[in-house]
Amino acid sequence: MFEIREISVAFDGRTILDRVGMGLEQGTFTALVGPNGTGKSTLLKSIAGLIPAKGQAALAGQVLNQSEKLKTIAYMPQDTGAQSSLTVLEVVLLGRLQSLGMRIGDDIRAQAIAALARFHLEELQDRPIGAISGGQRQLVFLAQSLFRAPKVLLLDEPTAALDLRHQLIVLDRIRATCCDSGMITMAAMHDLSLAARFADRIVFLNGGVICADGAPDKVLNPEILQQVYGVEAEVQIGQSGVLHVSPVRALQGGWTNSV
Amino acid sequence: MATDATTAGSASGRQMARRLFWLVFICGLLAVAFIGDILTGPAFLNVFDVLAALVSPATADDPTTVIIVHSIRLPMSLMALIVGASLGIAGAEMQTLLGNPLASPYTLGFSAAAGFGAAITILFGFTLPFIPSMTIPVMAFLCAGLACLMVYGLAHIRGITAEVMVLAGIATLFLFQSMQSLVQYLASPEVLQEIVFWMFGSMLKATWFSVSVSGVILVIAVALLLPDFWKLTALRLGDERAASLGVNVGALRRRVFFVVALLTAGAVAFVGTIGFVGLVAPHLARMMVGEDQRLLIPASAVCGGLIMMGASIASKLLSPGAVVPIGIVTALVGVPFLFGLILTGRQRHW
Repeated sequence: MFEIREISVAFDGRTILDRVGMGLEQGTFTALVGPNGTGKSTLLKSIAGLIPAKGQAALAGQVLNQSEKLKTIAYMPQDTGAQSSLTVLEVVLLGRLQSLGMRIGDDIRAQAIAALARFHLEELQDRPIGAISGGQRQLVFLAQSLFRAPKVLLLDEPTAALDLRHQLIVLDRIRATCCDSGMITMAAMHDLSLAARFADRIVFLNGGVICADGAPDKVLNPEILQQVYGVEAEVQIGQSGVLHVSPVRALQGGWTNSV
Repeated sequence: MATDATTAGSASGRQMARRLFWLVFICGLLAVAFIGDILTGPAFLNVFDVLAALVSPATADDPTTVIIVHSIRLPMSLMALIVGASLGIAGAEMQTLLGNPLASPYTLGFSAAAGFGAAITILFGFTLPFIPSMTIPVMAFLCAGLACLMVYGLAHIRGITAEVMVLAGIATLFLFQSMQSLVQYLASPEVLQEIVFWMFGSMLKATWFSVSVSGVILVIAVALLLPDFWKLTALRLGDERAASLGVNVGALRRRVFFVVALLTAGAVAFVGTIGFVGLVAPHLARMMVGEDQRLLIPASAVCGGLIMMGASIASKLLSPGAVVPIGIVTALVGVPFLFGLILTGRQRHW
């Protein structure tokens, strides 16, 4: 069990997160959803120890300090482009930055190439990261995150730059890794239908607090969507038995609800 | 899948071999250029006499040649090599730290500060007790250190980010440049000539002492950078990604900033301002060996040294019987190389 205990973040006197807490079971995939600017990325970064925050993160009851967080948690930021001419293979190798020496062994190189092969990217290994498409880059960074073999994986909009096919491939791989290795995954997402299809649990964040939390069929309903997003939406069960969310119209209101 | 991964693995091995080949190739070029630099000079010495004086000074026929080679040419060539290597490494790290291909060791104003230190020393004509001949280098070094503290102080208050460092550096650069101009305006024509000559940058100021000091600084700087090679490589992916990989970006920037300041001050304090090398050597290196700092740092040092060697040879050949200040020639030698690589390179490297 990975626990997030009372995480609070404030910038310039403005509260971004207010005592957010939850427990995540081993091998599960949790989707973190909510309107823009509501603190999803901030929550992921604060759990990973990348920004100052009050509160704790604990794994199996043990509170993680900063160096333990680095070993245990992998955080993949949103894709903001990469103008570097580092090769794709070098980028994946950087996933194990802490253990790299002056010489890279054949075994670690083979493992990095295998991580790329999971996304059929091994042919791109010598290409500069800045010269491949945004979608491919996103997959490379995902391969880098999985190459770290973390116990907890935090993803910030992992499918944002991907086409439909690759969205399914990526989430499928993450889901499979969770099941196979017991990795705990939490991903900030905007596509509620994808979240419903792949996540074991959906956490709604709004105004820096959790306003709904549970299995997709329990929390994905028009009332919660209206309360959180300010939209009228339909939630239907598709032919494959997966929930599908269709926004109908935006209701009157501000840009977002902040604390 | 296993076959695919093996094939892919051999492809990455070939790329590393290609990069190592480039590194060895430019090291060979540097060795040739170094010998060529020692062989050339305004004294028009016989090539074989110079080689004999270099290899076996005790048995060389002409003592004058031995003195010229060992007291003038060897320190000049070694100084050019060390200054080129220092500026090459400093440039590579500035571009990495600031995420900016136009950054160079001079972006943060260290060189302008060193120039100001030299200019006021020449203007007022004061000397330090015990080490009068070292007054100008010491003052140049101290002023570069002062500029370093100013930039660091500003960045420390506002956060050690690339943007803050660039802005603080540019402010420091303009401050020292304007004070330097003021000193030049106040100087008499004779003093002004001396100041301008210092600014040009010349290896004629090199001595075995300055070679030793700059060489030790270079070795210390490389030793300080060694543990951070992979972290600096990760920084090329941006601050947030580097942080997500476990890099303490602020602490890394702070450490490497001081190393760059040390390298730049050590290079310019003795020989004056040498432009272009710190900007272009890292680009040349990157085109050949990529951005893996294990290769980029040595390659930047070698490229810097190579540009300086080429410039040093050209500075002696341009005006027979005289040595044109090397700072004037560095761009003339380096630009054709750079144009060639830009035109023939298939990929963007910055």
